[in-house]
Amino acid sequence: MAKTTMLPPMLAFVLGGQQKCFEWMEWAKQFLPELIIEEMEKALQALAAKTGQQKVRQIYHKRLSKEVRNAPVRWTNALDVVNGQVKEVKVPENDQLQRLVFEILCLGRLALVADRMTLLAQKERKPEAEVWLSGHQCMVEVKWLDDPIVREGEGFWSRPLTDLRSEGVSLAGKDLPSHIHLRDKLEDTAEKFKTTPKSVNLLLVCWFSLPELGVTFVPALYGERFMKVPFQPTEFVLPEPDELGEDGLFARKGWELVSGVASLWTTIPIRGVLFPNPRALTPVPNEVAVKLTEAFGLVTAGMIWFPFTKEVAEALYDHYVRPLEGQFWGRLAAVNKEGQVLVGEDEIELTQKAIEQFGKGKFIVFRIGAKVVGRI
Amino acid sequence: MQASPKILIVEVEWQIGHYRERLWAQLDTGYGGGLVLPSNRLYELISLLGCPDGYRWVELADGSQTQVPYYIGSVSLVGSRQSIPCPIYLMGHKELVGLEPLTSLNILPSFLSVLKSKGIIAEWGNDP
Repeated sequence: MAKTTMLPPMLAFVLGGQQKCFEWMEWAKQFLPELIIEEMEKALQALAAKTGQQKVRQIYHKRLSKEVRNAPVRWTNALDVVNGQVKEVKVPENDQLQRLVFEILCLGRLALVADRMTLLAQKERKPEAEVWLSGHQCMVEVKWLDDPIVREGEGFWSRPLTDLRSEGVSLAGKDLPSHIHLRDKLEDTAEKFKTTPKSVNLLLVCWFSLPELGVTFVPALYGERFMKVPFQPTEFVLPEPDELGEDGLFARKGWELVSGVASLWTTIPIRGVLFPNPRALTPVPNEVAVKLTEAFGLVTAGMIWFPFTKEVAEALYDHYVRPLEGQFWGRLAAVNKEGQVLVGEDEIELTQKAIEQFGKGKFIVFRIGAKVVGRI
Repeated sequence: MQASPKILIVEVEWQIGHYRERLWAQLDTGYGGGLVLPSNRLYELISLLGCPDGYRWVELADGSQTQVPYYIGSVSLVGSRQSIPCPIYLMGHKELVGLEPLTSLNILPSFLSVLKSKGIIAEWGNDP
């Protein structure tokens, strides 16, 4: 019995006792790192605190017991990126267990920041949870999806970035760009929110793929013409509803039900980017975005975009500030996008003048003549 | 066995508009300004205070350059009873307090004289 005294108590409760938990853990440890099991215990406890222990048991007892039995017995090769280097790794061929654990981790994080929460019984056309965030009813669906190319262990660089079929090029299904696979796998998920058009409907997705967001989520959701590499969430300007590419999911019929899609990665703690839907019937309110940031460290693409990209800032400096170097070396310059410049020595006074003349948040401040463009 | 590096943290109170908060921040002697808050608080501040007052173009420690949103607010070291108006930047992952609140307390010269009394030669200079 000594072995069972250290078992995670909530997991043991969900699985139906210490012995069952012990057996479950012995099997699961082959596929899940111990850190993940510890995190899952914390998530189950957070869910229990918000929804009640019995509810957590009702939702997860059968699924956790089943998926651990279905857990992989075979392994396959795949590519992974470690410290920027692509290397071949072994991954489970069937990882339903990992998918389920990811769902629990996500919902557990939400439980920590939720006003209240209800776990919903697993049904084809229902999301996984109703979560109240800052007074807003949010319906949440969690998805873990595989990029087939990664599963086959082929190089992501061998596939085209854009969909060449529109140019008459014939491509085998597996050679399609990553965002096409992602889009196809997500396409039907909007139906999950059919009965809750007035709530904030959120889709949390882990896309197990190598290519970055600029060539996966951005084109899959907003259309191929918004593809950009590298993707910077704070430089991304949310398209207007009529600017969306018709090939993107947010322009599709039925997708107005989806308020936003979050791309999450499987790090501990979970991190990611939230992509709001410009055509959503119920857009993601700021207060909800704040709660999602708290839960996942999510950055909301386009909600806060920095108006001065590196290129714009450098061009503004070269055109409007550099000519002042001879006269005002070492002082500060506030510049707006129209090229109007204010020079000052005190940052607070300069900022107040710039707010009066250019508007709040409509200018960038440089140190004139610094070796670099600016320095705090 | 390697000793774990120590940092000095101080309790500060900061205010932007009517919003006021107390927190513990790391004292960064390499930073001459007021306060830096972690960038992931930007969303929360925008929902409370509206868009940032401005953006500042800066060079980071790794040499990369970026724009940093900021608000004009004030910072005081808790217990000092002196509140210093300063820009409050949102960047990085942790709360940092610079030398500006210390400068206003006029304790830097005393700090230097203590060092000098021990035979240590030190001056506040500009980072080259």
